[in-house]
Amino acid sequence: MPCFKSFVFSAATLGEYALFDAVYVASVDKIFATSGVHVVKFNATTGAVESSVRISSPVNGQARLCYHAATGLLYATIWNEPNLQYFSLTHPNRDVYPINPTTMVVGTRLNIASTTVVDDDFVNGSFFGPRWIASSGNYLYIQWADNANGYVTLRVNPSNLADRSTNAYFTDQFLWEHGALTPTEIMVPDPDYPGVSFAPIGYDLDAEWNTCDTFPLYFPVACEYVSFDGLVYATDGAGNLLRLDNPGASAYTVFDMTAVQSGADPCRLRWNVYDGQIYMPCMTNNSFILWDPNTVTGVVKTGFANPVDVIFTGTKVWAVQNSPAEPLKEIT
Amino acid sequence: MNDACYCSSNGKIYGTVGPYVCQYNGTTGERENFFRIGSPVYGDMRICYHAATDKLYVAAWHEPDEQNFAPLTWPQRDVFEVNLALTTSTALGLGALEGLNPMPPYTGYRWIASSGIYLYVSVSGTPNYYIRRVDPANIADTGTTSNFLIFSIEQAAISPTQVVVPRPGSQGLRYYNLALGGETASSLVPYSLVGMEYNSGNGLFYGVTGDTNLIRVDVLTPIAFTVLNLGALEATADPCRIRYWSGTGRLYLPCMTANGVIVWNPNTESGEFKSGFNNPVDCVFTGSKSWAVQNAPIGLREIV
Repeated sequence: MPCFKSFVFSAATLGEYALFDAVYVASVDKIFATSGVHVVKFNATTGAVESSVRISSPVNGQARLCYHAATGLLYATIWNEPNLQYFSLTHPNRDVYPINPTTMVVGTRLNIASTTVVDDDFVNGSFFGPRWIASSGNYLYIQWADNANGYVTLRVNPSNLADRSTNAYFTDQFLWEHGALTPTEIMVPDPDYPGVSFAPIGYDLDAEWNTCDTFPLYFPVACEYVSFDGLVYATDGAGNLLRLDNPGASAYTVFDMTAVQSGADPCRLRWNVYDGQIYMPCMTNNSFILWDPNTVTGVVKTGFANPVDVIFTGTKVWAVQNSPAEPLKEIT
Repeated sequence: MNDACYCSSNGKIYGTVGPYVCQYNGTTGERENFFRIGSPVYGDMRICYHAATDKLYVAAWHEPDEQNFAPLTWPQRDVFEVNLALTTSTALGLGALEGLNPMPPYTGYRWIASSGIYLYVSVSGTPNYYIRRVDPANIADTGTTSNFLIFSIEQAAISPTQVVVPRPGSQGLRYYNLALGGETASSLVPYSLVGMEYNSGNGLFYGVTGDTNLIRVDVLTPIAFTVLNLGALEATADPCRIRYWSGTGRLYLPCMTANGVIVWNPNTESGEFKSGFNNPVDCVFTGSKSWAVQNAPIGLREIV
């Protein structure tokens, strides 16, 4: 397998970063983010770029990222845009790649498509491949756009690939931005259903996914667990924040984010346990909405450039920007 | 950066980074300005300079990620007219013409070029992919090819009289007169071409297949071609785009995996592999310099 060179930059280096996903790793006190097919390391105090590494090539798709404490490694998912349909009609690089957060060396790919129930996506066209990844501490959870079956949620132990969900759960025909991991469950949006499906975090059988909540008027695209009230919240990319009040009973409350800021369209949301706020990036408005689940009120933070996500280090909050303006910008 | 063009009227290079257009100094390669075209847009964008209007045109599409924005519409799949000062961006309204809003998955505009008179865009539509000709000063003056391929292309070639389009997956190419009307001819080439370029130095078309083959089209009808081997220069050569620069009379082939650019001399049919780049996807030329367009944190690096 190829081993890609890590590029080291001075703090003053300008670059054309358009970040798509990010994670904070407390053990090395660094922020890591994906920009195209590169993983970029940032100083968590200053937000300055320190180095970057290409995950794989040729790949034109975007990458998602998580840190898995059990192995001490980052894991990046790579998929291919339709642009990549041309490479002799094979797509060998759709996979999950481990990265050492200290050395920034890309390790051996997990070869997920060959070891799980997803279809042989290495030779199929279109937009198949892994599109989201998260870690529960023990397992990785991966959303895979599968040729034969639609969108699949997989559970995988990266240290023992045989330890995985044996039956994939096929969500619906649309992608979502991110799922939620609660202490006991995984909850994923069904944007096309529309609703949220959930299963025990150690799920294995399809039957365990039979429970879902429906939101007839809303198309959730991202879910987040909020430890303040032990509930899961969801956004629909259209200005609605949904709180699942009683999972399994389709009981929910809708909060209108456009009342906080007109035109709000967050498609991700993150719970900041340090300040008790839910952060929602609004790309079109170049802003964030901070929602207090305790008072059920929100405030707007402006002055950002196409923010897609947010990172919390414990002492600072950083906007993750899909923009060449500056990749990370502190939210104060 | 996913694409770049040189603007001869002000000597600047313009490139696309995510949903932004960036302006670079044509001499130093340093970024000078940037401007967001639309939001929310996740797809990569392509760009060209159109001398007839002295404006930039940016083609936008949406990745499947974009499926999530309720109520499942994708209003920003279009071609955007952008001024050189990077202060205004106006959609041409082609998305409505094409019926792409709302449409599922990866429909949109995936390539754009200018003949000097018209714009040509690759449309990922339904049920297929095709090429549209547009006069941006008169949108009613338009034309399309028939459905011609099942996969998206990286680049078509425009000569003074023809448009030559690769057909990935169908192993061949199609060619049209510049009006895209009446004349539709195809040639079978047993390679999955993904990018084509016209070499004004010898009047021939060249194609790349995303691997070590460089296809020289000797005659379009009946088809006659020569397969040239890039593998001897770089075993992992995988160019998916190809550019001809009249300044040197050479063809430039960016190789992402090898982090290099092959510079090919069509007169001697020999080349040189230049290393030291980072994920190069394209090349752009000013009057005096050649630049690698890198899908990497540093967007431009001079080819010397």
